[in-house]
Amino acid sequence: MRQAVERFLLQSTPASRCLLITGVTTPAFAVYLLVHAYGLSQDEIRRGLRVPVMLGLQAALLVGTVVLSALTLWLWPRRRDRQALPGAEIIIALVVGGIYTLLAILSGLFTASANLILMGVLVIGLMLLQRRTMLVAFVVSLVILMSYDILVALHQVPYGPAINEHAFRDGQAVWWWARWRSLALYIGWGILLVLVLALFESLDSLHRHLAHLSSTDVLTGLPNRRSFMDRLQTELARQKRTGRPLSLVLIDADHFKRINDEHGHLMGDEVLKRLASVLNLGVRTPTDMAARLGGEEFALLLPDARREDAEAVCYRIQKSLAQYRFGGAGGEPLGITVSMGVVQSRGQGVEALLRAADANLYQAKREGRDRFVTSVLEDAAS
Amino acid sequence: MRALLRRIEGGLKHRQHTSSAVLYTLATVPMLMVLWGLQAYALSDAQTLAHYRPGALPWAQHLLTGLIVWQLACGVYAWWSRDRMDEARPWLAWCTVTPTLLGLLALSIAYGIKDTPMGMVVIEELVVARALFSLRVVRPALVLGVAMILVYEWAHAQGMVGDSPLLSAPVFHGVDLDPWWSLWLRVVLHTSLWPFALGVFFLFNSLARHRSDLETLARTDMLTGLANRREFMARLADESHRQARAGHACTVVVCDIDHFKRINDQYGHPAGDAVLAEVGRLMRTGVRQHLDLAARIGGEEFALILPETDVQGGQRVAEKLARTLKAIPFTANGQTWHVTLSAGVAEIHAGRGEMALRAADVQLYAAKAAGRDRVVSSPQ
Repeated sequence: MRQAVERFLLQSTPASRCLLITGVTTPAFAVYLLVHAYGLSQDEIRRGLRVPVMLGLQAALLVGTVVLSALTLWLWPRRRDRQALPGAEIIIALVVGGIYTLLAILSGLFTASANLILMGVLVIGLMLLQRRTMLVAFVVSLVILMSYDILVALHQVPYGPAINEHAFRDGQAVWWWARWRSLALYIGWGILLVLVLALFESLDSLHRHLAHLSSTDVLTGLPNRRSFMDRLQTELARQKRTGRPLSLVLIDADHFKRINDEHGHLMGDEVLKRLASVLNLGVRTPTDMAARLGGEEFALLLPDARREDAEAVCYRIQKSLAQYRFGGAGGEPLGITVSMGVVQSRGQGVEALLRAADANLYQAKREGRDRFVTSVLEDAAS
Repeated sequence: MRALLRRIEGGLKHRQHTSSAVLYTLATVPMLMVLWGLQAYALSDAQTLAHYRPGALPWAQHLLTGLIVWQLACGVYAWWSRDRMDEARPWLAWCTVTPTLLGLLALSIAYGIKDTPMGMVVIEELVVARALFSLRVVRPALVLGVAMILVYEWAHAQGMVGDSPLLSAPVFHGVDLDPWWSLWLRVVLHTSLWPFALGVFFLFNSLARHRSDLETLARTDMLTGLANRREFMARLADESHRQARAGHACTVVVCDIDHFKRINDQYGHPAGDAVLAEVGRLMRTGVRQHLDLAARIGGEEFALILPETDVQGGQRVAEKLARTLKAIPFTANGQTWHVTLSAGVAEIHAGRGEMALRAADVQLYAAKAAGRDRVVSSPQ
């Protein structure tokens, strides 16, 4: 449900968003018109209303309904255009905002329902329209409200002019006024709550995406260099305290440039993806980490692993890769091998560890590739 | 002001329960004190006190006092223990949030839930709570709050409670507002409206900025700040269409850092990264903004799309880049070295961008074969 809303917000055109607003508010205004008309027609209810004010409200609602309907007809053929429609947006914001401001003033602008409805209009407006448009409409609403409030404070106009004292009996609201207020309040509360919670879910999910994107390599889905280095630091710090062994494996695909040059970048990408999944499957436990450092370089972090354990992992990876074949440019099946440099750490720092693993990797390459070279880092090097 | 907003956003992003609890306390206690102050004044003035049901206001004041003390205690505890915590303690968050929300809801029912802007105060504190904590922390308060409202409405329908249980008469009953309620309503409205409106605008600003950050991240190579391969290919397709339609010249340059593996092996990976970052910077500043595109399409491979430029122009741009790069001394481990570039240039013809890219690649190989540190262009 939430995803459907997100998708709508991302893919909708300005026109379709405007249509959503007019599509919802025009019937709402029509409902208000009918309900008020019914109320005015009943003697009992009419006694509690100030009729001239209500007639003014009906007139405003009618004008609003007509304007929004006209706008809907104008927008409908444009609903797939990607063009921004600042003119239509400002009309909608002012008409809808204006009508709800009027409703708030007339029912008493300090009442909960009035305030909630205005807040709801603000939030919905910000979701669907340009921020600048909403700012303008919000300021206009505020100016009208504050002006009326000042006049109320100066006793120039009555507070809540739509109703008079006959809407109350013995200090309690009579049934129709109570029902109207309850409806307005709880519907307003419900809508606002749902919107606010949905917005925060949205924000949270964006945060998560951002965090994921900035720590993951897009092509292979493995952690990227930065998150690998962070993890390496953490594990080394932990190792200093616990004294357990830790192994680092640097992996480099052999002759990768040749694959890219002879068979194309797309094939090269496929090879990298396959390599990444082999590495992922090859690590033993969730505490191990396989990462792509860049280009055709990968790394494995194996906490609590001694050199022998790391060698077993390397051997498994080699065996896995030996079975992998991809189609070359000429149709012939080709394989991929890797060179690996393994180092078991004894509590040294990051630099020393990386250098030693690099040296082992370089040696593996020099000795003919498709092999791994391992060593244990001696204390003298820290 | 912007720095303050950034810090608040940073706090929201990390969502550690302790610092959030402190922020929540800072956000709610002022509002509670405003309400407390209004009630304290009413208690001290007999005429104002007459607005309230006899004997009821002291209880409401006790409730508020209790809420304020509890909230401050939670905040102080959260602040004092902020260094000791290794993990989030949800019970602290729950304790901080739920009593205040429910207490404010009870108070708004007492004053007349439909008459007064107290409902807005409740929503505002709920928004703050949700901004600082996860839905899991806020949910108990939501559920209990709904239950509270249902109970009240049921009791009201039975005639057991009136519209405004705390007051001797509702705030507004068809005649003008009297001075006390005039004041009370305005104070409560304004102290809750402005933070809410500001918060909502801020929230939407955040959302918009995060969306664009996300988009940028998906299109950018982090190390160099250039466009990534996916963005480059998309742009290449666009520019090819444009070229086919309008017929103007458009050139593709592919370049490669010479002996990059050797740099990594000899001087270490951080030095290699520094070289890549510098090349990225040169490319970013060396091309025309909003027109050209510089991208990193491989480990040490870069590419440029130069609209409105022919092969000779592309050659000039590439040579200038190579010259500037060559002049920069890189240092590591006390050694200094210089970096050279090989490049291939080709023009897009008849909207065939991929072909131009391949042609540029061919020229790049030619440059490498001819000894590197040069730019080779495709013959017209």
